[in-house]
Amino acid sequence: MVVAVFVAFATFRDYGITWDESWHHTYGNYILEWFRTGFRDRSALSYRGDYLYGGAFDALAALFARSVPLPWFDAVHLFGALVGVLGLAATWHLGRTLGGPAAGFCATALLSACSVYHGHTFNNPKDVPFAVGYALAVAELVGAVRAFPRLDRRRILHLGLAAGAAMSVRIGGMLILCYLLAAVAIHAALVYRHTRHLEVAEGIFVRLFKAFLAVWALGWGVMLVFWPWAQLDPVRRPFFALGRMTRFNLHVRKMPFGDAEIVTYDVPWDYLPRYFLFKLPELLLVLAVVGAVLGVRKVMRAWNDPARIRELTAAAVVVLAIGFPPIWAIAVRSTLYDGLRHFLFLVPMLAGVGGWAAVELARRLGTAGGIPVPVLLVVFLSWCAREVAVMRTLHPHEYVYFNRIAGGLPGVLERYDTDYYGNGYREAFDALRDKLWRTDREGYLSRTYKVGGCIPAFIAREYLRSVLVWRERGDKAPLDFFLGYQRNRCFERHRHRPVFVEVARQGTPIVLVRDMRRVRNANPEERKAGRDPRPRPRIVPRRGEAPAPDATAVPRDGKAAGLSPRE
Amino acid sequence: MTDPPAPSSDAPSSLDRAWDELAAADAILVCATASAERARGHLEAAREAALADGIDVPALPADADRRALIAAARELAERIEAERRRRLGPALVGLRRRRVLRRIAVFLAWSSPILAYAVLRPFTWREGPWRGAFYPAKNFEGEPKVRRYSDVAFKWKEAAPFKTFPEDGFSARFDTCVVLDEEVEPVFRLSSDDGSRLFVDGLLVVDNWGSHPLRVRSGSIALEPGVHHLRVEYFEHTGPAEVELDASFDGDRPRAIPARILRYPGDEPDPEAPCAEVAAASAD
Repeated sequence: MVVAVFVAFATFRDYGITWDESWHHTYGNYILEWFRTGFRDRSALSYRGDYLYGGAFDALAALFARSVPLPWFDAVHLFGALVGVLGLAATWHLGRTLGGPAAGFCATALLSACSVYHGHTFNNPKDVPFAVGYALAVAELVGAVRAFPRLDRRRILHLGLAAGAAMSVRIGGMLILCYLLAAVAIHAALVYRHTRHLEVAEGIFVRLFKAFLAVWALGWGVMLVFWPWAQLDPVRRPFFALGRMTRFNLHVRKMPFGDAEIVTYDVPWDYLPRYFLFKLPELLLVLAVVGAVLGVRKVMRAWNDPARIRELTAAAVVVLAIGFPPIWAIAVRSTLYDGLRHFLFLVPMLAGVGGWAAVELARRLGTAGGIPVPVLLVVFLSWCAREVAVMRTLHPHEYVYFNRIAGGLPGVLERYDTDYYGNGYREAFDALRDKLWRTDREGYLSRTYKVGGCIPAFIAREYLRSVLVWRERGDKAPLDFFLGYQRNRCFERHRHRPVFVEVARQGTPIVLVRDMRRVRNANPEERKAGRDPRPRPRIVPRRGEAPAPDATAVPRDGKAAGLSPRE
Repeated sequence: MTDPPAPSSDAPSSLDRAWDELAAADAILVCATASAERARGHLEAAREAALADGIDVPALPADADRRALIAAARELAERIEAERRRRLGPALVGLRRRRVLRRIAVFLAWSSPILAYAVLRPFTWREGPWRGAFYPAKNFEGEPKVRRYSDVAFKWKEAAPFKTFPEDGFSARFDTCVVLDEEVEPVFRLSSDDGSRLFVDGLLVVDNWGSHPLRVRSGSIALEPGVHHLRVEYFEHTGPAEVELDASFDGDRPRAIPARILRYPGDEPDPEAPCAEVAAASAD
């Protein structure tokens, strides 16, 4: 984890600004103003849809950014990275709770070598903080279940704070309280099953239910601290927000999914499973599956043993924490997009189970197979190091990672979402300036260049120094460069314009900067000569639409600058 | 005791937990016993053992039902647990102290990267090296507002830099001192809307003066090793307002001048030699 802190400090300036960040940082500032003005500034009560979210991360990030002499977004990225390190600690805690210190170490190593998690920690203001709170809360919950039927004040305090932390980022953290209630019920039921004394089970249930109420009250209080809108009606409004979130249907758009193109509100059942299969490192996947198998065996053995009631209850909590959210999302056909981003909170869970499975497997292979544990440790760490090497090749776009099952990044081009969050634009703007300096020094020192692309103007302006000028809405001046990324096939726009700069990883484009100058005044022959000579990426036919007979003939879209995709 | 490989400094909390578990197990054992007689017998035996060990425990209530027995079992366990803690107190204090020391060491290990960063990147954490003096008139007249900045890169659009300033017709002067170890010929790129100009040691190097929309001008000058004064003057006439200075000292593309080679000239620099103090400090 110390290494992770070093990496955070060394690299936080490399990451771009993602779609959600500006909204969340504005919301965080509004929350601070809510307190600073003595509750008179009411901007936080109606800001976009953000008022439906607890703003703990946003407010603390804003406080951090106001406190350190760094550019705003750099400061927030550093803060996010440190929260991500806290997620490693939470995963260590979970692994240790499940299987002791060695399991904690393995769980941390697995999560550290997970590109998707690492890439998101710097500039994802809601999914990663929620994942951290969720992992912490589940670890505390498993520890609490192990102490059933007694829950001392320390455990209640820890569990309440952790559940509150999760709920203060997303109201979905209320699931933790549901899991606790379920654990209490399961434990009481198992006690009854073994004792056949209803009053005994009832006594245990009542006792634990009181502890549950204490956890609920504490978590609720923590949740409300940075949630101004809910403070005004602390009982009903969180439930109202929960209802709105379960019917979330914003961001309607099409997206590639394998050989098809789907819409966000009508995703196939295997959307999440497939993304988990493709986006997580293979070792983590294998160990999670092994963990599931070993877990089932343990549960079957413990089923009739009255001394292992708590073990069974803890297993039920872990199964609920990992299985319930995705199964629910699939069952109710939730609106989904951006791969597994919204389910990032399951990754530390899987790492925790994977860490436990790694230790169990090593123990079994060591005793039954005669393989020395140090050898297994070297194999494990070598695999993690290999994943870290892959992360290095992707830096700072680690979250676009796809594993070898999917064929890596080249295997998913145009088939799955890669840079859905716009992280690549920062590098694209930098690379564009570098190339202009190398190839057009005179122009660089005497003029500005007008640019546009599929990026909100308020984010683009954060990247611009005076050499690049953003073409605003309504501006009819011709573009010099167009920057397109993958979402909505933006980088296919203006295909007949040559690629001036390419941001690519593993040979796969993430952002293409097209030169709009050379052909703007050119005749048809020159325009043809200036066409991008590379083969056109395969276009996935939309539902009910025949594939284009000549894929290179027509640009799909003439829309240019100023497009501001939501999120 | 679910964590045998844990270090001994973790023993107090592990013991606490173990005793908690034992106390709970006692209660459950009683609860799970098929008959009240057996439960009473078990508790009586535990009570006698405690009394023999010098632990004061109350007598079991006569004619107690199962709930009363559970309560008695819990009380018995808690008394025993408290007595164990009392007797082991001195030994536990030493172990707890070791645990605290270990936690401090872990905290230092965690915080050392932050401290190292703060030491290695000192200028990032200081106030900016540019002295900005803003005037409410476009000819540098009136009482200036002085602030420190890390960079000359401002986009006020149609707004004023301060609430008390007019949106149009203000001016600003930015001063800093650049410390060079070797001879270089930096390229400066100055863009502004409206007018701006760059002076190096009093010499006009970039002239972007006049009322105009966003416009870029550049220039370069050979500089000897030592301390040099940079001044950017800017005025806003009407419409959008912005000014930005980039420079290239190493042949790479112009960027904001790195703060590590800049020094703040002071709140009230000598008008004749703004970098005299910085030069004297550098000579020392």
